Amino acid sequence: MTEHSTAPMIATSSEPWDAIVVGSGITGGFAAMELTRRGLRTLVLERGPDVVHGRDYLYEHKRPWQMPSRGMLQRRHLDEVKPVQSRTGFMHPGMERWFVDDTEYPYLEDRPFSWIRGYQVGGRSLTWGRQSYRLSDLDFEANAREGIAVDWPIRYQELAPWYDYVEGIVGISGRNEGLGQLPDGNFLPAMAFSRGEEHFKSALDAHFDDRMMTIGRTAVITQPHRGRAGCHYCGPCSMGCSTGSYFSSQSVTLPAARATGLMTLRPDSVVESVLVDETTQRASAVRVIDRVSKEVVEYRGKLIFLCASTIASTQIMLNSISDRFPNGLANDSGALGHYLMDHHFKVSARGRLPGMLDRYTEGYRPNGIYIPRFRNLNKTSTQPDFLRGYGYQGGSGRQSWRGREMQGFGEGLKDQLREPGPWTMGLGAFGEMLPDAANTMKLDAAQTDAWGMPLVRISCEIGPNELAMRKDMATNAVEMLEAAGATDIKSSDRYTPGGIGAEAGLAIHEMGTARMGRDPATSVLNGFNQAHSVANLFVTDGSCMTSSACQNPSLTYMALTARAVDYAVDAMNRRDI
Amino acid sequence: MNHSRQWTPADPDQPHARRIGRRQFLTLSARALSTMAAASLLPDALAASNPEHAGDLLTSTAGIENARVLSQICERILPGTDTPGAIEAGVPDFIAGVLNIVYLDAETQRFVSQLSAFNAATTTEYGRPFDQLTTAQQDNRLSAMASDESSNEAAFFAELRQLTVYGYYTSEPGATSEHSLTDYMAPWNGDIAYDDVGRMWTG
Repeated sequence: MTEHSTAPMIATSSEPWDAIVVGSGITGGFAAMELTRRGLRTLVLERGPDVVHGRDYLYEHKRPWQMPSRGMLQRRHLDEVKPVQSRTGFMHPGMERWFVDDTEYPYLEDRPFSWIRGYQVGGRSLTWGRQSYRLSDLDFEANAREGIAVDWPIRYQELAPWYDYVEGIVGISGRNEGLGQLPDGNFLPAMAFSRGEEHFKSALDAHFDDRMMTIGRTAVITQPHRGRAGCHYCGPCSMGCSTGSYFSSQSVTLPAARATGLMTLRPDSVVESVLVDETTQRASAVRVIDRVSKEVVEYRGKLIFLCASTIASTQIMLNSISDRFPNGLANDSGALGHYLMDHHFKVSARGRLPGMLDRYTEGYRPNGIYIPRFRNLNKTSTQPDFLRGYGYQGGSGRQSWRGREMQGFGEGLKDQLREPGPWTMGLGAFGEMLPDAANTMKLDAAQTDAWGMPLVRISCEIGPNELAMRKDMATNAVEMLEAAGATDIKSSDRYTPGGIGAEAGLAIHEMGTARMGRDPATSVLNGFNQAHSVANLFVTDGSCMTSSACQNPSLTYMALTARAVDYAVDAMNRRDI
Repeated sequence: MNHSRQWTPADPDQPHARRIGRRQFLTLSARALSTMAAASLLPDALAASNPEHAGDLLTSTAGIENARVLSQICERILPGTDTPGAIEAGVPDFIAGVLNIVYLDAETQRFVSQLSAFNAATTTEYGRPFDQLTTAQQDNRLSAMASDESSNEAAFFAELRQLTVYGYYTSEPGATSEHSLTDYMAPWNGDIAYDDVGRMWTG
């Protein structure tokens, strides 16, 4: 290559890796751990910079007065650099850097869709909400039962042992409740309710036969677990947790993979495409653009796991064009890029609970309560206006000074703000979003990012089923608070057509676009997350989801990942791959 | 289990327990002694509506006057009692940081305009600027401001109160003297006797 050449330099690594994992977040980390434990030399590619567990948690255990600007950020910076990521309300000195700069990673929204991303080693496992719930056959059978989209190729019994396995590693605290729609699990001791939540639960049990409340099932350990210390209840997990009490790639899976001596982790590696050997119809290599130097490198691998996150993994597949796959890798069906989903939320209610002013709480519990789905479970709970259902998350505590209604000023104001306010109880719903072919992500070839990747163009919005469900979400939240004797109840639904506030993507549970299915003509992946048409390609992040259910999805992604690795390595050993 | 978190009066040798006069405060402001990451000077911030004052620091007449007024407003919102007041807790410097770092330029200019207008109206009514009124007069003026729904004064008062409250209870002097310091290693307990704590947790 001469110095005048504009062609990128392509360096090809000589030795093929047993496995290449794209992404180091919650599924990439799990894939890396499982693959290396099975003895595979594994290359993990992360597009963002490295984050070192502990050392890089700059604001862990900092008091408000030790924070830059007491935790406030420059509005101009947020408006100009992070206009989309700011929609989450998560922007804080301790968290802001775990979210991408929208200026550096642009995408196109036909309708408002918040694509919230964390491009660093560990990905969004550093900032996730940690709520961890199993799906049930109510979810896996729903599409087939209702004739919507395509059937899931798996049922609960096939995934159950993998939920057991993953929960055992992650460490989920929670309580078994014997519910069909929310299967029990392999839990560490549950966190306690607050006094206000006990009050609310009693009222719920007394007034409603069709629903119950449990403590959130959360990936925060409540006792020492596999070499990690139990939670010390300091508060905001996403500032980082050097004791590893909450599950992240940094705290669990990447150290385990590293300990095998078989993992190589390469940060700053933007995956441009997956290359295919036209004769064998196998994925042969991954083409990487160095984030900093822009150097192009190709890594050959025997097994490829795409764990780059929903949308990002599909972006790579759509950008992987070959004679065999002119419409994107493994896209014989044309389903790739379609059926994008999220959970729809931002329907909430809050009220003031009576009395109990002689009681208080101590410590910061990184968890809340959960009211599992109670709609459309059976004939008696069938709803005339909508399919599927929703669950509530929430909690109760005494009001702090933040956001408190204040009277006057002077010594009287000091007196008001010296004592905690009344107990309040809040509920927020997370609802299932139906898969719809019209909810898409595509590549816009006319516009590229700094690495020459075509920009993602997203067109996605909730539909009539979700809108009808939202009315029920709001009504029931208010009714339950009323039953608990709450006063000053305020409810809100932040959705507006075409507006910002409850737009798709904001729940950060985006999923679909490379769905699993039984039929290669209508789906991208089979029941083991294996591409129907590329035997050594697996996609195990949220892209694979055939429907969204209403439960927080990360636990399911991890269970699917562990199961897919087990299947893939067995198949390799049988020389089927 | 002992949950008591008894507050004890601050050690007089501790910085936040020192009484700081207005002149001394302005000097402190000018030295930018605050927890803000890049706090600039309060008078400077408060002269922001007039770009030609930028950098004038204490020579900026408008900035100094507004700084005095703002400091006194903060202090009347959360006055020194047996615990530090807003000035001692560094609230005016905190607000300077908000104006210089957090707010958009237009917001800062709007804020300074409203502060100047408030002081001009005060001077018209009382014959002297807000910072030269007695505390009783200052309280009367703030009460009128808080209840004046016909102009934008009530909304401005709400903003000033919000900033003062935030700056005070996130400051070390304010939080630790008025509230009970949370223990980062305390186990979660969802139901304790309030009397064992006796005041709100910091947060």
